[in-house]
Amino acid sequence: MIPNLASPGWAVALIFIPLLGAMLAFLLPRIGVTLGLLAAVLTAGSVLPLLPMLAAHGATNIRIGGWGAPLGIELSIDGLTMAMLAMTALVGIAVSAYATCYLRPVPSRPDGQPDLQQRHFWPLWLVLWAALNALFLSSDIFNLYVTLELLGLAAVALTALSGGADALNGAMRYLLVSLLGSLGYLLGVALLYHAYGTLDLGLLALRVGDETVTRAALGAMTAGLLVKTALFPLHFWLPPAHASASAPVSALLSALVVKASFYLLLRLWLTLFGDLDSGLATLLGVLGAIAILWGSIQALRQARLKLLIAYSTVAQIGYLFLAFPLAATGGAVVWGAAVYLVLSHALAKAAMFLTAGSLLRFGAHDRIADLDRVVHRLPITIGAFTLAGVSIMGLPPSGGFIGKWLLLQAAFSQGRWGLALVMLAGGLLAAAYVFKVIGYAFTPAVVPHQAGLVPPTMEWTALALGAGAILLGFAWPLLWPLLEIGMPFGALAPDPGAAVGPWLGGPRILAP
Amino acid sequence: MNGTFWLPMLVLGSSLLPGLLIFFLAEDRSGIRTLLNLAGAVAKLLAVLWMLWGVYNGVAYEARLPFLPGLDLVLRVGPLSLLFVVLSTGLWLLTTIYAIGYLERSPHRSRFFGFFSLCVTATVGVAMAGNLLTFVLFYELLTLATYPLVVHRGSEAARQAGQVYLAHTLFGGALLLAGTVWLYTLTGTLEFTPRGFVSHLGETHRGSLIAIFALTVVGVGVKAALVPLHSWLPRAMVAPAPVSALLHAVAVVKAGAFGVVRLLYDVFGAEFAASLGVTGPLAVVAGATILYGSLRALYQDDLKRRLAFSTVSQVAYITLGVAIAGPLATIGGLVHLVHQGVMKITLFFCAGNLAETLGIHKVSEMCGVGRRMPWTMAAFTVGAFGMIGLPPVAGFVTKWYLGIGALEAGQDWAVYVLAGSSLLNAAYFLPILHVAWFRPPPPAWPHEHDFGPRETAWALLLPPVVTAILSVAVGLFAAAPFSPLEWATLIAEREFYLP
Amino acid sequence: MLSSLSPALTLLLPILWPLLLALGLLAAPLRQTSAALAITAALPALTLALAFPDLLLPMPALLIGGSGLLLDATGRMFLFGGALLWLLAGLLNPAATDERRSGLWFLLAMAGGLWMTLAADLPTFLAATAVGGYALYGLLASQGRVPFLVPLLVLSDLLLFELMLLLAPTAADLSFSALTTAWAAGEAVPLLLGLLVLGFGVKAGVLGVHLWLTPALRQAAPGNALALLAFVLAAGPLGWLRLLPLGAVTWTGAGDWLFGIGTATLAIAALLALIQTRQRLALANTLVALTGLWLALLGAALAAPSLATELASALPLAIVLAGLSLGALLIFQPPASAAAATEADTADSTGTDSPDQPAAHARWGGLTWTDPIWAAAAGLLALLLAVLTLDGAALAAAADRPLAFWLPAAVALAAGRALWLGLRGATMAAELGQLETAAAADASEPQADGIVVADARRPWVMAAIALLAAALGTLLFWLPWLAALILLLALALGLAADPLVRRLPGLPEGRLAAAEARLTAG
Repeated sequence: MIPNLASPGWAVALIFIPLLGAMLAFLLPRIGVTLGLLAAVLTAGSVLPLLPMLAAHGATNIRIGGWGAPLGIELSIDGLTMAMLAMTALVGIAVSAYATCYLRPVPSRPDGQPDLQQRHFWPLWLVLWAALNALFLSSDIFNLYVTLELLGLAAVALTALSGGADALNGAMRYLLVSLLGSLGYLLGVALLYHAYGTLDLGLLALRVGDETVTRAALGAMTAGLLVKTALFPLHFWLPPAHASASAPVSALLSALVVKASFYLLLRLWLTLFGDLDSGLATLLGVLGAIAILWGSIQALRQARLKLLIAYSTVAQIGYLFLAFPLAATGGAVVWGAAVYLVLSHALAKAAMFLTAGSLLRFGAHDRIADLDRVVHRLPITIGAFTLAGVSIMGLPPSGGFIGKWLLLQAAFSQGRWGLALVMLAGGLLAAAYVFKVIGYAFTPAVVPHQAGLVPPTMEWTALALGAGAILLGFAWPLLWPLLEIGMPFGALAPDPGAAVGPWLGGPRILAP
Repeated sequence: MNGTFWLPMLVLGSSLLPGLLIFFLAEDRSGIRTLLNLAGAVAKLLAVLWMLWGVYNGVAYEARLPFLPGLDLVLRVGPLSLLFVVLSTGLWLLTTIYAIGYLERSPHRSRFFGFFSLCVTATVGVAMAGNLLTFVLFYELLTLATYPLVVHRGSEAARQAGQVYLAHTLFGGALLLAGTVWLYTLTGTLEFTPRGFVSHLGETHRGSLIAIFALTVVGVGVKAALVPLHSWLPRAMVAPAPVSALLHAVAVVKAGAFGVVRLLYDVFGAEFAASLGVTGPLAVVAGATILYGSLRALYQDDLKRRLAFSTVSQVAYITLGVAIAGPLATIGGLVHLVHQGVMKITLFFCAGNLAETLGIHKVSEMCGVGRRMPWTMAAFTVGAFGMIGLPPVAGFVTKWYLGIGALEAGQDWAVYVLAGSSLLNAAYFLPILHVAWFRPPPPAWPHEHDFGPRETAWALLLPPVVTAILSVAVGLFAAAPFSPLEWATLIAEREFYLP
Repeated sequence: MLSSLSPALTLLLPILWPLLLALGLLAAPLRQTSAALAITAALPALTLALAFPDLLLPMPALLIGGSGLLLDATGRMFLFGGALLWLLAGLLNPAATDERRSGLWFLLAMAGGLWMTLAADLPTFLAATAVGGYALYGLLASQGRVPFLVPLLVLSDLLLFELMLLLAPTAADLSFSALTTAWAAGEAVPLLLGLLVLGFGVKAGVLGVHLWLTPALRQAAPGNALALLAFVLAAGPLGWLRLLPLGAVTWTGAGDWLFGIGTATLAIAALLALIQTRQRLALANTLVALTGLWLALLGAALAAPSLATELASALPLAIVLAGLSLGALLIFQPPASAAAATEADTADSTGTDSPDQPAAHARWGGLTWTDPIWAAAAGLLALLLAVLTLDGAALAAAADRPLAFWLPAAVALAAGRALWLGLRGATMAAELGQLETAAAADASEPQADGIVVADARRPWVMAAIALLAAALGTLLFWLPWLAALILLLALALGLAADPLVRRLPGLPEGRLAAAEARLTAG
C-alpha cells in the first residue's frame, strides 16, 4: 500500500519511515550513518506534501486501515499538528546533519566499526523521531500515552549514550522522572476511560463535563506532563540531563522532547479541560513566571555553557505556561503566541546546543570564561549562537519576539502587570546570560583554547537553525493562517458558536 | 509596488546586503570588501537624494509588510525621516572611507564592516520607521549591531564596556517595548501621525498615558544618553574611532534623540504631551543633562572621554528643543540632529587621527600638535567652535533657535542653561585648541606612524575635512533651500501650523 | 536680476580676497604666489571704501533668516580705516605673510575684521567677530602669551548672543536697522544696555573687561598691533553705533549711566597712561581712554536726541581718524633704534667703527637727521588725536555735560604721555644700540669716545621738535589752541611724572626700562 502523495494518508509515512530507518540502521551498523541520514531526509521530506494537502482540505482525520475512531487507530492533523511536525522535521534534519560530523570518531577505529555512540545514536534518534511524529498525529489518549512512553525511553537512552558518570546519572534521573510523568498521565487516561468509555479525543471532548473525575484526570495528567515538560519546580532533572548528553542529543531533548509533552498538555487543555474553571490556569501562569525568573537567574550563574543553555530552557518553558492564564480572555492569539514561542525556541535552542557542541569540539571544554577569542576562529558558530540568543531574548525581529509581543499585549490589555513585568525581566535576564557568553567569546582567556577542527557542516547547521529562529519573526502572516487550519485554538473572534475544531465538530473522514 | 515601495527598501537594502556579504568574505579580500562598502554607501546616498527630491515634490514613500496581527512593518519617508536618513547616509559614506583607512592594518575587518553596515541599516530603519513597532524593531537591531563594534578590540575593558552598553540599551529597549505594547492595547494602532494618535484618549487614560510616556521616553532616553542613563557612552569609548563616530554622530545616540522626537511629535503630539504635563520634566532632564555633561567633560584628560561627555551634553540639546515644545525650539532641536552629527563626527575623526597617527589619546599630550597635523587640527577647531556655538559654524544656528524658542515658550530658564553650556563648552574646548596650536611640540610623539609627506593617510584626512567644511556650510548657508534648517522648519510647520 | 545685483556683489570682495589668499597659502602649489600677494589682501576693501557708492547685498540664504552686506556712510568710514590699518599691518609684518601659519591667522583676522564693517545684521556681525577675534588671537598668540583674550571673547559673544535673543522677538528681522527700530519702540531696559555695553565693550576695551588689551598690545609686533587696533575699532565702537537707537529715543537715565561708565573708563585709563613707563602701555591705555570717550558721547546722545543725529554722523569719522592717529603712534617705532641696529650690524661686519659717526652723534646730541622728521610727524599725530577728541568734546559740551571739557583733555594727556615715551624710547634705543655695539667691540680695546655718554637733553630736543610741529600745525590750520596747550601740558607732565613713576612699585621691567636704569646709573 503506497499512499498517494496528495492523500492525507501520507501522514502515516511520518511514523513508519523513521521506524524502518531505525531498524535498518540498527541491523546494518556499517552503513548506519548513511541509512540514518537517508531516513532523516525522507522523514523530513514527508512533511512537505502534507502542507498543500492541509491547505487544500483543511483539518483531516485519517483512519489507519479504514477503522474508525472508537475501535481503530485514527490520526488527525490540523494546523497545530502540522506546525509541530514541521518543527520536528526542521530541527531533525539539522541535527541529523550535525550529528554525522559530531559523532564521527576523531581517531577512526582500526576495525572500521562505528563506535558505540555513532552506532546507537541513529536507531535511537529515529525511534525518537517516530515517537514524536506519532505523538503529534495521534488523537487517542492511550496511543498518546504509548508514544509518550516511547519518546521518554528513547530520550533516556540517548541521554545515556554519551557515557560517563554524569551522563548516566542524568539519564537515570531522567528515566525515573519520565516514568513518573508517564504514570501520572496514564492515571488520567484510566480515569477518563473509566468515566466516559472512550479514548478518542474527539469523542471525549463531546462527553466530558465538569465532574470530579474529570478534574482528577486533569490533575493527574497535568502533573505528569508538567514533570516531563520540566516546569518549575519540577525542572530539577532537566539541567543535568540536557547538559550531560552529547550536543545533538541535548539539542533534540531541549528543542523537541520537552515540547512534545507541552504539546500534549496544550492539546488536552484545548480539547478537554479548557472550559473547566479551575484555578489551575493561574497556578500554571505563576509557576511559569517563577520558572522564567529562576531559570534565567540560574542560567546567569552557570560557568559552563551547556548548563547555561539548559537552564535557559527551564526559563523559556516558563513563557509557554504564561499563555494559560492569558488565554482565558486573550483567546486564540495567545495560544498562537505560545505555539510561536514553542517553534522559535525549538529552532533557537537547538542552534544553541549545536553551537555548544561545536565549541566543545573545538576547545574540549565549555567554560564560558575561557572561551578565548573564539569569535575570531569560529565566527559562524558564535553568529549562530547570537542569532539564537536574539530569539531567546525576544528581541525583534525573531520568532521569540512575536510570541513575546503577543503575550505582552494580552498581559497589558488584561491588566496583568505582574506577568508583563516578568516577561520583560526574563528578556533582560536572557540578554544578560547570552551576552555573557558572547562577551567572553571576544576576550582572551588565561587558558588558551586549544584549536580543534570543527567541520563546516556543524557550523552551518547551527547557523541555519539560528537564522530560522530569526526568520520566523517575519513568518507570522504566513504561519498564523496555517495554525488556524482546523481552528485548534477555537475561533479568533470571541464567538462561542464558531468555536468548532476538528475535535469537536465532524471533521472530514478519509481513509487511505 | 512601485517606486514608492522599492525606494525605501533600496535604501535599507543597500547597506544590509553588502553587510551580509561582507560577513562571509575572507579577511584578505580587502579590495572587494572596500568595493562593496563604497558601492553600498554610494548607492544608498543616491537613493536617498532621489527620495529627497521626491519628498520635496510631495511624493509619499511607503513600504509595508504584514508582521503581526493588525500591525505591519512600515517604512514611510517624510521630511522628518529624511532629515535623519540624509544625515546618516551622508556621514556613513564618510565614516566608511575613514574606517577603511583607520583599520587598514588591523585584523577582523570583515566582521567589523559587516556589523558596520548592519548598524547603518538599522539606523536608516529607525529613521524611516512608519510606526512605533517598526521603530522598536530597528532600535533593537541597532543595539545588537553595535555591540560587536564596541567590543571589537576584544580587551577586557572592551568587554566590560560592551556589557555596560548592553545593560543600558537593552534595559531601555525593554521599557520601550513595554510602553509600546501598552500603548497598542489602548489605541489599536501605532502608526506615526503628525500631532500624534493618542490625544483622543486624554480624558480616560491620562494616568496610563503618562506612564507610557515615561516608559518610552526612558527607553529612548538611554540611547540619547540622558542623565542618569548616560554612563554607557563614555565607557564605550574603548571602541575604535570610526565606531565612536558612528555611536556619537550617525547612529546610536542619534537614534535615541530621534526617538524622543518621534514620540513627542508623532505619537503623543507636542500639544497633547504638554497638556499631559510631561514635556516640562523632560525639558528639565534635558537641561540637567546639558549642564552635567559639560561639567564632566571639563575634567576629562582623555580626549575621547571629553568628547563623549560633550556628546551627552550636546545631544540633550535636541531633547531640550523638542521638549520645550514650541515651534521655534522644535526647529532648534531638529536641526541640531544634523548639526551635532556633522560637528561631532568631525571631532571624533580628528581624535582618531591623533590616536592613529601620533598615538595621542590625552589632551595633555596634544601640545603643538597643530604644527604636526594642521589640517586635522583645523577641522577639529571648526568642530569645537561649532560646539561652542560660534557663528558661522552650525552650532550657532541651533543655539539661536533653541534660545529664541525657549523665550517664545516662556521657558526663560533654558536660555540660562544654554548660556552656561556655551561657557562650559568654551572652557573645555578652547584650552585644547590653545595647547594644540600654541604650545611647542614635544621632542617625540607617543607613538608615531609614518605616512610619508602627508600628515596622515588621505582616507583619514579627507572625512574630517569634508565634515568640517560641511559644519561651516550648514551654518553659513542655513537659510538656503534644502539646508537642514529649512527642512527642520518644514517639519515644525507641519507639526504646529498646518491644519 | 543678476545684473542688478552685480555691483553689490563687489561687497564680497574685501572678505573673499583675503580668504582666497588664505586658501592659497594652504595649497602647496599656490603658496609662493599667495604669500607674495598677501600684502594686497586689503586693497579691495580700500578701493571699495574710496571708489564705490553705497551698496546693499542681501543674502537671504545665509545664516539665520538671511543676512546681508551693507556699505553705508558709517560702514564706509570703518571700512576705510580698517583697510588702511590692515594694509599697513601687512606691509609692516612681512613675517606674517612669510610664515604659513601666522600668514593664515593674519589673513583670516583680516577677512573677519573687514567683514564686520560690512555686516548689515547682527548674526553676520557676530560671525565676522568670531572669525576675526579668534584669528587675531592666533596671530598674537603665535608670538607670545595673550592672557584673558579668549575668555573675554567667549564672554562677549555670549553677551551679544543674549542681547540678540532678547531683541529679536519684537524685531522684524535681525538686521541692525530692524533691531534698532524694535529697540527704539521699547524701553531702555538696563539689562539690554548692560549686555550691549559689555558685549561690545570687551572688544573695545571698556574698563573692567579691557584686561586683555594691555598685555596683548604690549608685546605685539608693530604689524600685529595695527591688526589689533583695526579689530578693536570695528568690533567695539562700530557695534555700538550700529545698535544703539540714537536719535529715536530719549533715555535720560540710561544715557547718564553710559556717560558715567565712559567717563570713568576714560579717567582711569588716562591716569594709567600717565604712569606708564612704556610707550606701548601708554598707548594701550590711550586706546581704552578713547573708548571711554566714545561711550560717554554715545551716552550723551542717548539722553539728548537732538544731539544724536549730528553725533551719529560725526562720530564714525572721529573714531576712525582717532584710531588711525593712534595707529600711527603705535608704529612710531623709533627710527633711531633702527639706525642703531644697522650701525651695530655694520660694526659687527666690518669690525671697525666708521670714524665720522661719533662726530655726527656729538653734533646732533646723538640724533640722526631723520629723527626730527619723525618727531614732528608724531607731534602732529598726537595733535590730531587731541583735536579729534576735542571735536567730540564740543558735542558733549553742547549736550550740557559738566565734564565736557575735561574728557578730551584727559585723552590728550594720555596721548601726550605716549608721545613723550615714544620720543624718549627712540633716543634711549639709539643709545642702547650703541652701548651694545661698544660692549661688543670693548672686548678687544677700550674706545672711550665711541660710547656716547647719556645725554639727558636728547628727549627734550625731540619733544621740542614735536611741539614745534604741533604749534605750526595749529597755526597753519587754525586748529584749537587748546589742543596744543594740552599737549604741552602732557609733555611737561610726562617729564614730571617720570621720577615719580620710577618710584612706583610693582611695574614689571622690560628691556627698555632696564636699559634706562643702566644709563641713568652710568
